[in-house]
Formats: sequence, structure tokens, C-alpha cells
Amino acid sequence: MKFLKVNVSYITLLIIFTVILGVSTLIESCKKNDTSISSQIVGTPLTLKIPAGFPRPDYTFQNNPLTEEGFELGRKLFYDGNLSADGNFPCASCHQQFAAFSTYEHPFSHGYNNSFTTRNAPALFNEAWQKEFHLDGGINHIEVQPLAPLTAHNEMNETIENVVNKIKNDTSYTRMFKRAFGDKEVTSQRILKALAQFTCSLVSANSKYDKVMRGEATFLSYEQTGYELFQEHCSTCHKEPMFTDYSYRNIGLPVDPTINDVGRMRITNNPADSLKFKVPSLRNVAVSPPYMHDGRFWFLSNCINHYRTGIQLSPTLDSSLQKGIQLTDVEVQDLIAFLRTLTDTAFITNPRFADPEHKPIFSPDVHNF
Amino acid sequence: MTIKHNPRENKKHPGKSIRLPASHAPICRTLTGLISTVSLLLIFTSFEAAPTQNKANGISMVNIYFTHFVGKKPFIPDSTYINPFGEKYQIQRLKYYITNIEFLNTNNHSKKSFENSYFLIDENNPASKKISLEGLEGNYNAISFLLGVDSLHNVSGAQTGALDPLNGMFWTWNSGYVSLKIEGRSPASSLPAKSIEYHLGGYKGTDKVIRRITLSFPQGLAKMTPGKTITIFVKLDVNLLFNGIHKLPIKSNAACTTPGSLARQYAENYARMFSISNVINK
Repeated sequence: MKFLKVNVSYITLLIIFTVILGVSTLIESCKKNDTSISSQIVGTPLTLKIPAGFPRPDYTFQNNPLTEEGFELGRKLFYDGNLSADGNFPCASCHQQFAAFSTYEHPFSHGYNNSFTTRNAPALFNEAWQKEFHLDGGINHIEVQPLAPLTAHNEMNETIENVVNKIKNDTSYTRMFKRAFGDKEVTSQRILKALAQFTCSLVSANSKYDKVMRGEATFLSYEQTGYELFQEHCSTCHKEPMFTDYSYRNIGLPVDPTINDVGRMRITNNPADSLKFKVPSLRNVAVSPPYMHDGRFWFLSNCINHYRTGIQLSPTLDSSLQKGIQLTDVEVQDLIAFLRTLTDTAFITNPRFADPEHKPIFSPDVHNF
Repeated sequence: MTIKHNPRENKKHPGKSIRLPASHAPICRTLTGLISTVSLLLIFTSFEAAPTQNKANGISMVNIYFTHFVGKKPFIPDSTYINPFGEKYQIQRLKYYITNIEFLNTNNHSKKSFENSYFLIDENNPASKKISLEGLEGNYNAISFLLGVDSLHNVSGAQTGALDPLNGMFWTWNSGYVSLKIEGRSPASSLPAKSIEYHLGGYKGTDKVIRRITLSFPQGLAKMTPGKTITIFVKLDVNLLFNGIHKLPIKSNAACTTPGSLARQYAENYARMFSISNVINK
């Protein structure tokens, strides 16, 4: 009898579980038709900390829940040369952490087969606050941004299909995809979402300037003078606290006839946008030379001198720069001293953003799988 | 309502693991294998049976076949055709997006929308030329769809399925989906290798090339009741891309690969490329 009872309860359980499984599968098969991804969170949830005084970010990880595992996967992809045609050009080849993720001391970055880019690589930080990407704003969403460098012939020169296949065949990714997304399937969407988790986590808000604003430090006298000069002459476009207003402006740089870059007009076809480029943030500016959209200036003093004496008149020149910016030589030095306070040393040395090959990606002490 | 995706976009969905209460864990482990086998068997049987039992189950079906022509001749890739300007051309690649499908009843202004219907029709992938939908009931006398991808999905980040950028229909330099892509050759072309290349895209403001196309059923109202199937044959005439509202000979424009006024002219032409050749309702 007892044996029978056990058997009956086993059979009952079997029926119950079968029903549960059946119903869940049915729900799944209904969901299957949805092209948007499920918002089911797999992994260890993370929250992007919004620095005090910062506005609300544009990218809120909607449909791409930020997790430790998603971030780590994105980080590995960011540093993986396999994303390029010949293995030599990971994202990190043009975006070096010590240069605030710009290409240090290169007007143009190196690309596949000894080629060069035609614009200076932007520094990467506070990307979650960007509404549009690239110096001409041609890219409308952080998640699809990597498609541009991946497929550009003078950058990584790879196809999306090859990237997906290479990642699929790389067993070091198998567990990471499973941990980040629930199963090991590799799709372009997952690669792009993981990369967005990494790049949008690159928050820089711990420079001396930030500490002064938080009351944790004080400017030296000439830094303070520089800050006041900055507020008077620069802060309209390089608006605090992001140090950009995300607009596109023509700042009167002479056109380089070997490139003839029309900037924003390439995207809008509107002659009123000719020679306009996105206003870059000035955070970490001292560690991300050279400067301007084509990296033509090596030093901060070159940039400031351009505004003093180098502006070329043209129909689309920014209205605020018609007469240039009047500064004395001493004021230039004070202004540069202030710009140096925008360097976030903790950010450019943060091991969490560094190449993961230098340390274990998953610490067994932290993650109990 | 369910939508059958075409095979190309039928991506495997992330499987959800089933967690049972902790107290059941030991029994669960011993039974998991058996349960899975039984359930899977049941599921597979039901899936297998679905198409044949369509009528008995009372599911109404929609099949839309996209057929490609040049004038009256069926379109075959790499064959030589002549457009109304007397220009010879061959096409290797013909791809376009059919999205946001709706069925309309223009008499009583009712409609049935198929949300999340995104299909990439590709001449070189015959399976993609048939769209199957389920669950259309009521009386309808027209089908309506977008040629191209709605602006929302142009600005919503990384997509998958038919909208996966690896389908080669997403611009990487100026975000946005190409609505229609035609690549080939023509002696009238001024481009290297005599190539012709029309990548028509643009989703913003006046550059918008997304067009809603509405086609009436030739025989009028189709009555859809459970178990019925409606088969719609949509015809596309390639020549109308060059010679529609706007006269766009290859000699003048062998390529159009950026959003703008020229792409818009092609869009006004391609909005009239489609017609219905037949509707079977039984």
C-alpha cells in the first residue's frame, strides 16, 4: 500500500509538472512572435549611478537590463580584436582608457590594412547622456553605434555576420552569453546590447572640478580664475556639468582640402549644417589630445589660440564666434589650468574598465553559480 | 493572434528554465528527465499537427505571396530587361521590408492590424516571398502594409529577427533601415563596373521614404471565418521604380544611396509598384 501511495503521489506530481511545463512553454511560444526582447532579467542587476548634478541620462537600459554579467560581456567584446577583420583592431585600439578612451596623440586612428580614419576618435565617457553619436550625429542610438566602426573599411573592416560567427565559435564566450542572457545563443542584438552595457557604464564625474563642486576640494587661485573665464567665454557651448550642450556648430576652422569634411551636412543634406560638428565634452580634455574633429591641434593652447585669432568667417560660422574670444596670454594659462581640473584620474585608471584579460572576469568568490 | 515568421527570422527564443519550489527539489530532479520527455513529445505532436488540423481547429489563415515582374515578364535575377526609357538592365539583388500589415474593410472602416509584423522579402530567398499570418476573422476588402520600417524601429537600438542588421538593410553611417534595395548592372550606368545601386532609406521629416501601400481585393469583400484561408498574390513591377510619377532613367541616376529628395522621388514611384493579381478565399 505504502509503495502504491508513493507511486500515486509521483504520478500526481508528474501530471502537475507536465501541466506547469506545458503552460510555460505555451507562454514562451506566444512570446516568440515579439520582435522586442524580453525584459526578463538574467544575472546580477546593476544600477547606473547618476552623479550628483547630472541630468537624467538619455539611455536608461530599457530593453537591455544592466547586469554585472552583461557589463562583463560587453567589456570582453570591447577589448576583443576578433571583432575586426584581421584581429588587430578591437574597439579599444582607438579608444584607450588612459586617454579617456580616445586615441592618444593620433589625429587619425589606425585602421585595417594600414588605413586611417578621417576624423579624430572621440573620447568615451558619459555616453548614456548622448542623444546622438559621432561628430556628425549620424548615429541615433548607442546600441547601433558599434556597427559603424565594425564595418568601416578604414576601421575594423568586418561584416556583422562574421563577427557573430567568430563569437559563436569562441568557446570563451559561451558561458558569458549564458550568464548575461540566459542561454548561449549569439546574435548581433546581444553583442550590441552587451557593448552598450559596457560603454554606458563609463561614467566620468570624479575630477577635481567635481570634487570642488561637491565641496570636497578647492580650486587653486589661478584655477578659480580660469573657471570664471571659462564660465564667461566657453560655457554656452561647453555647458556644465556635461561640458557640452550636444549641439552642432561651425567654429571657424579652415577646411582641410584633402578631406573636405562637411560635418553635420553629410547627414542632414542641409547647407545650413555645413562644417558643423558636435560640441565635444571638455571633461578629460587634458588627457585626450590631439584636438578638433580632425585632430589638427596638439595642445590646448592651440585650441584657445584658434578662438582668439584663427577663426575663419563662413556663412555657417557660429553666431557666438563672429568676433572670436578675447583673452590675454595670462588668461589663456589660467583657462588651461582650469581645463586640467577636468581630468578624472580615477576614471582613466579604474581597473573595472580595463582589459579583462589582465584579471579573472568572474571571481568565484563574488558569483555563486 | 499569432504571426508565423518567415524562416529567415525564425530565431530561437531564449529558453526559460523552470524553477520549482525548493522543497520539491529532490523529487524534481528524479522526474525532470521523464517530464521533459513527455512534455516535449506533447508539444512536438501539437506543432506537427498544426498545419493539417488548421481547418478542424478553426484557425483562419492568411498567405501573402510576393511575385516579382518586369512589365508582364516574370522577374528572374541576372536576366536582362529593358525599362521604358529603352535602357537595358540586370538585377542581382532585390530586397524590401513589408511591415505593419493591416486588413481593411473600406465599407465599414473596420480594420485588423498585425502588430509586430516585420518581414524582409528577398528575391534570393524564395521562402521569404511568402508571408503567413494567423487569426484574421471578419470581412475585408483590402490589405495595407508599410514598405519600409516604421520610424520608431529606426531609433530603438539593436533589433533582431527580420530587423537584424546582419540582413544588410541597416545603414551603419547614418542610422536607419533601407526600405528597398536593388543592385545590378546596366550599360546605361555611369558608375564603375556599370553597376546600379538603389538603397532607398530615410525615416526623418521630408526625407521619409516609408510608404503605406493599400491594395484593394479585385473581387471585393473576402469573408474570413474560422478555418478559412485567404491567399493573396501581390505583384511588384520593377520597371515602375524607374518610370512612375517621376521619370528616373538609369542614365541620370545609376545610384541612390542616401536619404534626400532623390530617394523620396524613388519612394513615390515604389509606392505604386505593387498591385494584387489574385485573391483566393476558401
